[in-house]
Amino acid sequence: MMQGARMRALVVDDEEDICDFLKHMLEDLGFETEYVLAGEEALRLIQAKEWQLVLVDLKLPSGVTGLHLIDAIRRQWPKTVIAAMSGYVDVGLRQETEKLGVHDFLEKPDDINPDVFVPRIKALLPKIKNT
Amino acid sequence: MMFLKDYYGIASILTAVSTLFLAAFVFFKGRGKPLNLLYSFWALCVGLWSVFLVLNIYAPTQSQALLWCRLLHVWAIILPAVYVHFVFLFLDKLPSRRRLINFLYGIAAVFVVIDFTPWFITVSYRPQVHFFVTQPLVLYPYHVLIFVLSVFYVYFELALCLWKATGIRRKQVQYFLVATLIGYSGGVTNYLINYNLFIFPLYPFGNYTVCAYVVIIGLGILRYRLMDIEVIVKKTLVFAGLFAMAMAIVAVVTTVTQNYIGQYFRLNLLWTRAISVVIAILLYEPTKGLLINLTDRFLFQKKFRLTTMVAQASQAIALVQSLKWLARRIVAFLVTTCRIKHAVVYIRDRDHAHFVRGAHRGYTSSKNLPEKIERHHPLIRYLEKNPGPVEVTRLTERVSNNKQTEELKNEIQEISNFLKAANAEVVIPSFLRRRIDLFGAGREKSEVEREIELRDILILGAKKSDEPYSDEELEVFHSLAQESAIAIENARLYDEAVQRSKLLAEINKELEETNEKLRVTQASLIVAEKNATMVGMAKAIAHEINNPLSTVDGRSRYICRDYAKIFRDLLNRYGHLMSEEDRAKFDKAIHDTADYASRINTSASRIGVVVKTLTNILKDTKGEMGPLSLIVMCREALEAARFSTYEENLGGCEMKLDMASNVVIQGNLEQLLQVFVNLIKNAYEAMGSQRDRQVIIRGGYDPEDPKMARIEVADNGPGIPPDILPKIWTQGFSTKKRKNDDSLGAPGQGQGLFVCKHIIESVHNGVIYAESEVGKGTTFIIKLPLAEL
Repeated sequence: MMQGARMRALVVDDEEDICDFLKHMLEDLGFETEYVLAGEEALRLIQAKEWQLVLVDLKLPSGVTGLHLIDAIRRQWPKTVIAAMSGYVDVGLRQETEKLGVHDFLEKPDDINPDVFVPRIKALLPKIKNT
Repeated sequence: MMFLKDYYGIASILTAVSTLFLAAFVFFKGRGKPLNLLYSFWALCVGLWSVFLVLNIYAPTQSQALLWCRLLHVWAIILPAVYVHFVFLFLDKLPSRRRLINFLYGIAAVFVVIDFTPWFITVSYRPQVHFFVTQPLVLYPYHVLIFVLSVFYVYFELALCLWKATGIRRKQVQYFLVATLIGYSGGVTNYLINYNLFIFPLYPFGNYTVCAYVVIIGLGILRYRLMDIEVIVKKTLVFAGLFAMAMAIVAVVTTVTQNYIGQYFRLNLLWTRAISVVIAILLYEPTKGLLINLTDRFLFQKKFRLTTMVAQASQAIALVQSLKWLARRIVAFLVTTCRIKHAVVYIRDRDHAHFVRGAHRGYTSSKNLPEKIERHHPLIRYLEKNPGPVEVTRLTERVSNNKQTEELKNEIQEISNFLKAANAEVVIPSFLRRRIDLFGAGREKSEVEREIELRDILILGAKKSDEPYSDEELEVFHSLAQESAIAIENARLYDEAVQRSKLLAEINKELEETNEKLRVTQASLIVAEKNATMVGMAKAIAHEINNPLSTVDGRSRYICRDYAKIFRDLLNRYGHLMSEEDRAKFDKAIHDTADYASRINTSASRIGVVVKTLTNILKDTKGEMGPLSLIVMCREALEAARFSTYEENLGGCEMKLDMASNVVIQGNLEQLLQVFVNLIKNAYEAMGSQRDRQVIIRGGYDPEDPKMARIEVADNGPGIPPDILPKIWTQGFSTKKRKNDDSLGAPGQGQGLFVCKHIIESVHNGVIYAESEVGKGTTFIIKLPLAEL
């Protein structure tokens, strides 16, 4: 990433509350953050601009699913750091996301707590800075 | 005093009478058959010879004696030729020997002429015998030679035939041979006399042999239908004859005793007569009894045998058994009870309409018995046209009868060849009458037709005694055969029924197996369905809770961590600008805000833990079997059971866990939790609201099987009655009426224990059963395999 350029983060989750909270914390960490509530909108934004960090909830309302979205991002912006989120730990689902190449997996509600969330994102920063 | 001459004379008289009687008998009984005609002619020759011999013996003058002598020789010349002719006819050798017979007749004719010439014979008085005896002259020896030669030739031919003949034929030939041997030997002795050889006892008793001949032939006719003459001996006639003979003996006895006793005891005539009458009376009853016994036993035992035969036969075929058995019984009966040499039965095959060999007995080899007789075999056609017993010998007679067409003759020839190859004497067909109700267009009411179908054929060999079959016997066999057709039909139906029930049994078995498979599949489907539902529900619930929970947890933490700090910093920096009171208030507000946020955060954490526990329990492990700690699993089950009883929380009930902590079983966590939660809940609910409620879960190694763990879930509830106890595992069994029952399956649908049993036994290879005592409680015992480590 070019020195001095701002990092941009995208949050995709159907819960507005969560999106707002995550945006808040990400902005504290220095990300220029936007959020969308559905997969289709997310696709459009992804195609429009490059993002350095994308947080994707796996359970999205019908249509473009979380996995679908992850796949699209990996194709278009292979260097983008992706973290998947889920309210229910499903071993199979987790394996699939790992196969697609996500960099982190956040479990709700534990990993949304700022005590966990902030260090985790900080840990991803080297990867993000490398893009 | 009787001279030897008189004995000779009596012999000749007896010969004359018996042979003339025989001639007449054979002639009248012979029904015009050439064989019988010839034989009676021959007997006539012998008879006439005897008559003239008698006249010769008692001739007073030489000239009369010579006349009678010549006349008797006429017949003596003719009779050998006739006998040879007869024997050839009897042996069916006529066509080939025609020329010989013609030659013999020719010679006989010549000699008859010579008889009346002076070079043949004359007579001379012999003092030894007191009558004029034949004096042989120059040409006489040739006659004697021819006579003797023809006699020997007849012996030869009969002996040859005897060697090859079988059955009744053999018996007939035997009789002829023996009779001829005896008769002719005796007859030949007459020639000795002519040559002055008066050898005692050949003279005068030699001639009695001719009578013996007649007797033998008579017996042969009686027993073996010699010359096909059947004599139906009337019982009364025989009995009368025998009785008369017996009475004659009695009369003789009494006369003798009368004489001797009278003379010995010097009694007067009245007394002796009285004594003889008394003896006669005393002897009458026993004699009569003895004669009745003898006649019944020897002459008419056939009748008794017939009745026992019929009784036994009816008994044997009244029992319905398989067709094979029945066929065997029939031939066994024929061979052993009816004393027939061999028998075979052919049964019509229902589908193919040919006749299949059912059973046979008494044959040394069955290669001459075909396995089946085709529908269109001439024998079958013949029997269908002539429904009755067929005697093979009578069949061959039909062949020689010229009234038949050529085609029919060939057919019959074919049939008789076939039957001869099978050594058959009698063929008995049996027909089955069936009523057929006909319905159909154009018929106002049902018509009934009777269909008569040839169902089976009995082929019998000769009787063991070689006697011919009497008409009576054939009738009996015929009726038995008709009964056998019914029995065979029954046996066939029985066989079919047996086959069908076997088939049904097989189908039933298959159905049962399929049913069992279905049950197993159903159980596993229910389990799988529950799994899927539970997992789905778990996911949904977790997701729905975790999302808002994230906000509560996250933001509350943010407040107490970040915002509180910001406020405190601002207070520290600008607090001096506020009043003491305001500063204290603000300070408290910051403190309280942080405090409240902290409590909110703690509560949120607790909620998170609960959700995690529940979702852990309902984790989708995809039915994988793995090592599980028994005690951990039981604890989780208890927790889950608590949750699932809602506000009651298993309250008021003491739950005890008494378990070894090192037991590791092999199983699927999710499914086993289902089972144990179900059992715990059942135990809890069974106890209702009784005062002391206790559920104990015990676990450890199974003392009976080192590879298994044993777990008990025991309650002290009301127990299960013994008649209900075995039923609790059945699908659909339930005693629950509560609407908010949340056990596996819909309320009171009774799937719970059925599914538990499936999980433990089919999926985990364990055992589950229940013990219960009414009033004391119920214990469920589960055995599960240990994990192999």
